[in-house]
Amino acid sequence: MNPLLDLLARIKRFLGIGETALLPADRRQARPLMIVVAIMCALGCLAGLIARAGFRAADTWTSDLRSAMTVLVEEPRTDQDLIRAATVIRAVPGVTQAEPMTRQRAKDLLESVGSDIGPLLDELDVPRLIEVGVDPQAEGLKARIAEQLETAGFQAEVDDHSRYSGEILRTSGVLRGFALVALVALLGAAGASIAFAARAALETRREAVEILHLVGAQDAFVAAEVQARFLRLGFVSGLAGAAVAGLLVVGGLAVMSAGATGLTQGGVLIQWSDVWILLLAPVVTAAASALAAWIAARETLRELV
Amino acid sequence: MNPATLDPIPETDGPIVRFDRVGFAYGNANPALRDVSLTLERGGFYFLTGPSGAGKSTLLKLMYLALLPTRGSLKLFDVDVGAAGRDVLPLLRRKIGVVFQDFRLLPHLTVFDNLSIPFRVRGMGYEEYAEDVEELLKWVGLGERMDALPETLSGGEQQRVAIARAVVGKPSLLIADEPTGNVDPVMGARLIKLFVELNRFGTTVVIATHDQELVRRAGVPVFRIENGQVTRGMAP
Repeated sequence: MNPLLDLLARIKRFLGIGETALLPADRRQARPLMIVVAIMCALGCLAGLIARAGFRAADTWTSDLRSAMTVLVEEPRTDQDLIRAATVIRAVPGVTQAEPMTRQRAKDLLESVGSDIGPLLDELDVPRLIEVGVDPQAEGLKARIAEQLETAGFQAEVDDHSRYSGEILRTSGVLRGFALVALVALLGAAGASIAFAARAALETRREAVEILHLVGAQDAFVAAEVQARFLRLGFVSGLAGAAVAGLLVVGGLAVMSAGATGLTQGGVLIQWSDVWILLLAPVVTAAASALAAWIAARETLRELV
Repeated sequence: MNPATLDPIPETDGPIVRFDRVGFAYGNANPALRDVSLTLERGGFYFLTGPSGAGKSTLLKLMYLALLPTRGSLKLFDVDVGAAGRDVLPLLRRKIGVVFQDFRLLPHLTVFDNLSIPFRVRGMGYEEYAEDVEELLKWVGLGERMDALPETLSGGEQQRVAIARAVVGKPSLLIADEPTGNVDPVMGARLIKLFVELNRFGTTVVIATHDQELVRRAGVPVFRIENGQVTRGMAP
């Protein structure tokens, strides 16, 4: 047969047009299976989207942390010393800014959030901090800042926040693992459901399968008939699942955005570019369904003469 | 694998079917067939008779490869089916046409689609087989009913579809299980005439029947099966 005609025949078979299916679907069996696969697909999409949001949040946080350092000046520790130390730090290549937390600035900050303990600051032994902005690509900056401060006569501790960014990276790695395990588990569960249904379909249509065998059908031909049906079922279920997941995300974001503050505005963590997850879901579901149906059908057919 | 690209089984001059001390048992039950040896020559016309439960159906199923022997050697078209790979059995089956007693038409397919099955399993497209199917349906008098579902046909019409499906692939061996069992004598006679005509074109025909009158009139070799064993003779 002409390869082009063969391809066209396969496409027509996938779309369910042209020749009547030799092993038709049992609608009573197909409907619950479609619902199950669609739910699994929706859960898979949500897991993927949430994982993406988690990675994006982790990236944002680690990027923020890597772009900043905190210097604790121990001696000398007047406001003028703090301003001088900031000047020393600014001179280090790779430093983008250095803002000393003078008593006045601390008072201003406290007042800006409505606190009335500002006047007490003069009597408290508060830590003398400098917020340092750095180029995250610059290497060895922590050591160079410490060295320059020591040369200028300061006793100071430089914190590059590596402890926190490490924790965030570990946490996001664990999230990534959970999301992958969830996706694999959902795909496996969908595949197992499809395999079970493919076996049941062959049992239900056993007489038709026998006829196909007796007129000379290869196992691969019969398996392809079963596979085409479940490929279609997987694709339609995947579309439905992705649509449900999309609606849930849009609805969830709308609820989160209503009166949200910067703390709760999770919406920014899910972006339009993540739509590829929803677009890919029907294809992956269809492929997993087709593979599971093919393997199950071949195994079942091998048990027949 | 594209079925159309598979190597067909070549035609040989040897016997078309050869049973050599073949035995068959369903599970652990007593053997349904014991030490059956028989040969069907190419182009022959044979009857298979015997009482119900004697093993006729089992013998036919072995011939059309719905079953495989549990003992002995079975050769079809000079191919030892016991040694043949799983991919070879469909190629052998494509050379065999079977008319089942209960027709075994696929109920969800139209008459046309039922006849197209042997072509579709060979990987042929609609354009390649449509003309042959229509022609054959006209030949069996069902040209006007090609879009009908089997359940809307009479018993005789269903049988004609079953026969058409059996011969549409131009088989070398045609096996019919009680083909006259469900039709009136006139239709039975027409069917036998059809089988004789196919035989004249070189198809080996095997008919299993209880109809002793039919066997007597045919005057062809008869295999009688009783208690799982086969004896050969001529029509009485």
